[in-house]
Amino acid sequence: MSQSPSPATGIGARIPRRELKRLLSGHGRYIDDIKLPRMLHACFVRSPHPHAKIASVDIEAAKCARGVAAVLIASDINPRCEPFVGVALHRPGHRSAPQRLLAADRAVWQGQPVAVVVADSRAEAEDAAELVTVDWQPLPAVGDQLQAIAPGAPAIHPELADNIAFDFSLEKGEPAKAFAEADLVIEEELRFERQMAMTLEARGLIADFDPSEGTLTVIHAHQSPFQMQDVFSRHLHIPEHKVRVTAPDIGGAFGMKLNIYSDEIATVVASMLLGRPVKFCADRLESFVSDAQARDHRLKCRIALKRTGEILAMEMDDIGAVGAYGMPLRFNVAEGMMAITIMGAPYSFDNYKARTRSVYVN
Amino acid sequence: MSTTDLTGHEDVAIEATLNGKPLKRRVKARQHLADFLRQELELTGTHLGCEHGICGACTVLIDGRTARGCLTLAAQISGKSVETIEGLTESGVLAQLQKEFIERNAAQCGFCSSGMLLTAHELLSSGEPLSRADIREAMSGNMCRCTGYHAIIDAVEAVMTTRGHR
Repeated sequence: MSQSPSPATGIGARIPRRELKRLLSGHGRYIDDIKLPRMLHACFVRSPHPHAKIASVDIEAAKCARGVAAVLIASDINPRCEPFVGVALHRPGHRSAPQRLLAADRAVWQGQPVAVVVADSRAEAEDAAELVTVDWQPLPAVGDQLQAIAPGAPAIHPELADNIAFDFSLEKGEPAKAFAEADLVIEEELRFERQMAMTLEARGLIADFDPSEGTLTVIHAHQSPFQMQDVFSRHLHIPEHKVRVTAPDIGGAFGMKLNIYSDEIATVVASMLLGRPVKFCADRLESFVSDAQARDHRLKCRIALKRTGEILAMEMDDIGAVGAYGMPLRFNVAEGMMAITIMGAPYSFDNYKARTRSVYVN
Repeated sequence: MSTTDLTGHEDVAIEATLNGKPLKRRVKARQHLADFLRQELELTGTHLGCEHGICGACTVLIDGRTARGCLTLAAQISGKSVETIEGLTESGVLAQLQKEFIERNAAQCGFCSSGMLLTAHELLSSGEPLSRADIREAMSGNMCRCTGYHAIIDAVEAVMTTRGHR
């Protein structure tokens, strides 16, 4: 830029970030740096199987372990929270089974929490979590989107009858006619691998419920604390003015910390049941199996061309694998909708046909 | 008691130097150094990203050399001198690097920054002249997921130039 920065507005000036001196001197305050008086630490027992029946959960040994305050399972936690149905109301036909905080009789994704151990330290909570015995009976799993839509594929949620979460098509002009009349048709099958945010700091929160006043304070490493205030209020039946959510310094989020996670809400319920602050900070292994992931699409696409290079038509069939549930408030349909609405946008042509499906996988 | 009888809950006595001051404590045999610094001493500037030696967020100096706080047991620092981001900030040793990092916004979320600064400090302490490739190679054990690497390398290079390494 030729003009010098304006001293009046700062436009064009190099403005140092005012928090950097703090972050670069070890004075950042991230979620796991914060301690509250009488605070307990949570560790989750998670499904090692993508799909399994839970015949029984034995928590007796864990309850007696050193430092343990409580071991909570689905029957303790789930009744305190309104189930989540991650369906986009502006997308008719989008379906999801209701999602509860802990798996009760069946786990439908690897990493799904089934019990939470709350103890004086995270190390003691982890020790006790190893003492929880779950009688897992593995069931056939749906591993990818082609398996999910194959005839006779097991339905992950029997109440939905099949694994289709969302199916949407667009058509303009006469694509079939254009392909029949084309000089050249190019066809490709593309695969976009699954992606995760891999923030350097994993997810975490401290939930502090005060039973004497019925107030909930959550320090949440989250990108959308006001959303979470509403979610906690609505799903845990606490008046909104009695819920306060603050975000500390956050060690990377990349969209992944916008989501609503069942283990985080279960941490809040644990604090409500125990009347003490409870911290849950995921470790790296938990981050791998429980952070929301993205992409994982398979596409078939075709383009019809004239010998002169003119585009006559495009066609696209996208299938995205979105995990076992509709993600509350984020929905898992946007990627496919963006793909089919954007693909043809930069070009001038008259005939277009596109379909996107979001499918559930274990 | 033979070592096979250990559960990790045993206490071990340590005597060390931490950020220039003597430290005498009993530590859990199984507790790693980063957990000890963060949980017992509340020195939370040392961060934990992966807890298996990959990301470098937990970097500390042990006898002047960088080490992974997550792969070192607290019991292992007995007889040694440990320095963390807090001590090295207070003593002013990192001031030049911190200034150049701030100048270039060479930090986004800041979670990797303590490790980046300590690794850069060790690299520059030799006084050797370094190419940009040398700096990249030396810093490659520290991950920044916000991917602000260019500005970080620029900052390290600027300090090297100021100090006139040759």
